Amino acid sequence: MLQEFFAALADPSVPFIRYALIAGLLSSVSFGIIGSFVVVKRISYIAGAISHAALAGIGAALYFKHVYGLDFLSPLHGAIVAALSAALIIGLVSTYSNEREDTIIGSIWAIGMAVGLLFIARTPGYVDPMSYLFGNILLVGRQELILILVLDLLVIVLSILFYHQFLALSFDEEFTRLRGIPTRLYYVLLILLIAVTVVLMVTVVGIVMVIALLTIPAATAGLFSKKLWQMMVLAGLFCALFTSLGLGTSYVLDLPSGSTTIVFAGIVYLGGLLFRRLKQLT
Amino acid sequence: MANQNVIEIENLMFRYSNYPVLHDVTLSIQAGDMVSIIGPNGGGKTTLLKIILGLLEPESGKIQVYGESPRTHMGYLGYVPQHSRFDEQFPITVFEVVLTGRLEKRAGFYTKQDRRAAIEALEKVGLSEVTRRSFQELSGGQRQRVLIARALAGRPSILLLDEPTSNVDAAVGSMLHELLEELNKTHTILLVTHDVGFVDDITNRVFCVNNHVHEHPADKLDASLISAAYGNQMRMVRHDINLEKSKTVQE
Repeated sequence: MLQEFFAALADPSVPFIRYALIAGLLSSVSFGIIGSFVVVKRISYIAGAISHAALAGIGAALYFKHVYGLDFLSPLHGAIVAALSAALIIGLVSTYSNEREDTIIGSIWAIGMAVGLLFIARTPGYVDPMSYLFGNILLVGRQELILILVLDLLVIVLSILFYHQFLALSFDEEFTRLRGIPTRLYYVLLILLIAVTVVLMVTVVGIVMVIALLTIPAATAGLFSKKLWQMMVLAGLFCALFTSLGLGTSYVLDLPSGSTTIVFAGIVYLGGLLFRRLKQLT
Repeated sequence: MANQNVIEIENLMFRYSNYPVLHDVTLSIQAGDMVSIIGPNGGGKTTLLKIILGLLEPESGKIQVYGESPRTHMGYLGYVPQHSRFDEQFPITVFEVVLTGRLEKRAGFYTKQDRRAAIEALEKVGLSEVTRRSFQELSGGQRQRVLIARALAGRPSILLLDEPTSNVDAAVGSMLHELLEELNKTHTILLVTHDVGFVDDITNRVFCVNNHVHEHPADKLDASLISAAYGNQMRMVRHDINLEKSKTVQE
């Protein structure tokens, strides 16, 4: 069964499987790092809002591409712009304004999706929104792969450079501020990094399920980690495992790849919780 | 150094939107003082602490730490928050927590000096053995000492502690008490507490914060001090007398 999948990986006539696998493995590094920050800082709802708001950019990119013949535009470009804008708004509102943060986050979540669907509805020809909501590995081309690689490297380098600042900020913001660290700035930077990370896997698992892939591997890793960097490494490995397993299984059994990946992740997480519970009892 | 005013506050006012918290506060703290800040909940103890730390700006009045605005001297101040407000599941070791006391603005990693300072700070609070342990595994009293070590790692000259004995038992409380007494030889210490009994004998000054700030003499613990701290609707429990035992003695 698995041989079928490996044969497909080597087959030059179906490059998209190879591309999807590479995209998944590359992004797993960022997902492990940023996912761990999201989990320990308890801001997965912010990641959710950002990923859903990315649909506005995806829709806009598709619309401008077809209506104005801007062939260089990829949905991924739109997703990046929309996700970064949503992240910036959320980051600035939650640090500098007195508005209710959760209301702003909920609004951005829904407005982003609404705008995206409106653009898609007005795009000539048939575009299936399902591909973007739940992922479609056919959308990963060579160009997308290069973009994913560049963004992935950006996230990795910045998180390593500012690891201690982000760690301190997540553990105790007040104390970190007393060390003279501009914590609000770092918080906004962290949310921007979340936006970039979310976009990496939008094509593979879709915008609805991308937060599951951000949080479940990190939460699973958190069950077995004493330090944040251990959690990140383990989360990255889990994420790579889930996406590869999901991709392989979905190809062999002809199932949607995103859903298969998330179901694998869910099973392992529940298993991990159960394992820890049993260990605590004995 | 002796008798130098390290903290000076004059006619300070602070309000949260429409609710005045601190009114016309004037006080000065000298190097080597062990100051207790007591008062009822909502009276402004923590607010006063945060103003001294530079986390909050007063509406009017003067606040100076070593003759300058607190923000320019953040490194002189070592802040120890309550241990109970931390995330139980955060994956961080004791050593990593203490190292954050050495955090700098620049990107990158901790230096050898940073590590040495963290090790020394852990030795001072008597926690050298649990350095590699996870912060979440520790008892309340140990966590409180880790947070003291984190503040010490930055080599401050003033320590500010927010209710260090809350949520720890009496034995741990008296151990912290000894630790603070020792640290007072080298540091000016400010303690926020509603636990009047605990600090009384190591404290040389007591400020009561209840919108206004009054200094009380620290040498006698009597009913007026307790009613100032807890309000008047209070009765004192005499732990020194056991009614059941005294009954049987009478019989």
